[in-house]
Amino acid sequence: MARSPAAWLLAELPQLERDKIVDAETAARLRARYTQDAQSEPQLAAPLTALLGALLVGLGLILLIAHNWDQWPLTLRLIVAALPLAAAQAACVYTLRRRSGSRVWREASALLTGLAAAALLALVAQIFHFRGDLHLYLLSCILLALPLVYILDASLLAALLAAAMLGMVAAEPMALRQPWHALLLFSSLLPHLLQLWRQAPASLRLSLLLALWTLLLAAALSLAITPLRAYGWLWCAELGALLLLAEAGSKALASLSWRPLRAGGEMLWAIAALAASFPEFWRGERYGAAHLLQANVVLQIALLLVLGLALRALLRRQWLIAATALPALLLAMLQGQDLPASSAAALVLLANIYVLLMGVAIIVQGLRQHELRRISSGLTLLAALVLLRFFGSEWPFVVRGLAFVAVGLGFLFAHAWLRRRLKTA
Amino acid sequence: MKTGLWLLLVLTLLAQWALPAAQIIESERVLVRGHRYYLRTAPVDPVDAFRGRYVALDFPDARALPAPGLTLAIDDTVYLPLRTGDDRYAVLGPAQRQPPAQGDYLRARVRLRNDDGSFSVSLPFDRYYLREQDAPRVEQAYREASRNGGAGAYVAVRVRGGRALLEELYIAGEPAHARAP
Repeated sequence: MARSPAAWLLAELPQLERDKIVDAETAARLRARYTQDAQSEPQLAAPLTALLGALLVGLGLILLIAHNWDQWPLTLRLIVAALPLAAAQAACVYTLRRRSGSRVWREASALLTGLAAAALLALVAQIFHFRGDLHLYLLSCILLALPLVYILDASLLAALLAAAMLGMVAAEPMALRQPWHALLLFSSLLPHLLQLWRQAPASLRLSLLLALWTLLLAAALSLAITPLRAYGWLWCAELGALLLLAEAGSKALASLSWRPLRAGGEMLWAIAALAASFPEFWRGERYGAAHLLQANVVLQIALLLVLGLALRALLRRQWLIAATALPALLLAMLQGQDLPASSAAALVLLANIYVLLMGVAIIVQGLRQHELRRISSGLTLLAALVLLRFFGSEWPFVVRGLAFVAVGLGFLFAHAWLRRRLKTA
Repeated sequence: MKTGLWLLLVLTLLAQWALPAAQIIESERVLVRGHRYYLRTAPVDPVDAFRGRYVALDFPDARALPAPGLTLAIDDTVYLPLRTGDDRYAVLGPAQRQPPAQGDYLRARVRLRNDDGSFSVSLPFDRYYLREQDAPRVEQAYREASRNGGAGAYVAVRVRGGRALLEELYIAGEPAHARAP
């Protein structure tokens, strides 16, 4: 097995000391610093293996039941499906009595019990040929497993339930699908998130679960917003801004090296802003048919949240992050209005200038903060804008040609400036 | 450990048994004591990631006229009185808002309005689970039976107190399970 960087460094230290590359005092300090890291890696690997094992066993049970062993007598099939649930429930009791301090036991027993209960319900539905209402089946599984999240403080089960909640909303018939279903379902996991927040606000467990919860809730709400054709772009812009603004205001999420909320927010915001740079975006019946006041309440609440968070960012002088709210606010103002051709042309120009300025501002901020990722984001945004104008613009060839030359020159100047900055740094 | 937490654990674990047990008891009651009806059907073969392979059932006779004076909309829940016709297949009565005081009935959802003024409805059973290798064979057998002008496919359902359960799927007069090797 490949050694970790910390273990490799510790193994190299004696030779480095002998070669007088590091002195004894430095070597001792390095040992003190990296010994804990090297020891914690197997400690992290062991729980992960156990949890993955529990997850695979549970999913395997469901697949085994899905095979349909109808040549076996009914009683035997029920006993075979009931045994894993009984064993998993016994593991829950054992965990609370004897292993209450073990995170692995808590997570694994809760996960197995939830999946075993789902497997038993699946078998009953299969034996009696229940109607294929997947959303009702998933709702039953969620309700039966949810208390275990709190009894055993089980975050992995919470993550699985969040995925099942998204599945449930997706499986609901369109006529029944309502945003409040998603809000109600996902809010059932909020107390667990708050509990984690109180325990350790900067923990990896909280950050990952919160990120997953937010992204899955956003996906579930997107499925429930109707008609999505009329409000889709507004929702996309709102969601992108909301994720970016909320992420910028969270110390726990901002302290992580992996920041999925920021990545998701940037993608959604950029898609909405770049789409608005096309003339076709502002045409059609989309805006004339659907007013903001007729929109789903989730869109209106999200808009208020965007506005509030943008104002907070402005008060903190976070100009760039506050500016990400502009597409959502503009789309909200124009929702339901019939736009004359001249206004549409002006909006296209405005969107292009906005994306251009945002790209440049992101690059400048990246340079000031010496953050390569941010510089790359800005350059990618500008490159996307340029490429979209090349392939899908109604501008005359001469105008497009001049625009390309101008942006290309901008890139060359930026490159030269970057090189000079890096040399002097 | 707090008593409340233990109590919640016990209730949760009991609920995990109670729900499937209640479903089993209720289903067995319908299958044993319910009246049997036959409905013509057309099976196709899809997959459910959780509950396995099945043949999805479409019912050409699942349509009904609204009761006099009743206006129906898509997705409305309706109650359909049930009787056996001269050809032994089930006949659905006029759709009504409340369950009939007497006789068997099905609870259904309005799916679409037909040109003749009747409404197509979703019945409370729409799939028949089979072993994963048998479902495609059953669908194939149905196609052959239909091509040869045979009896095609029909299902036996048991109905009791508004609850309906699918008992057996028949292809050309034989139970689907019997056709599996």
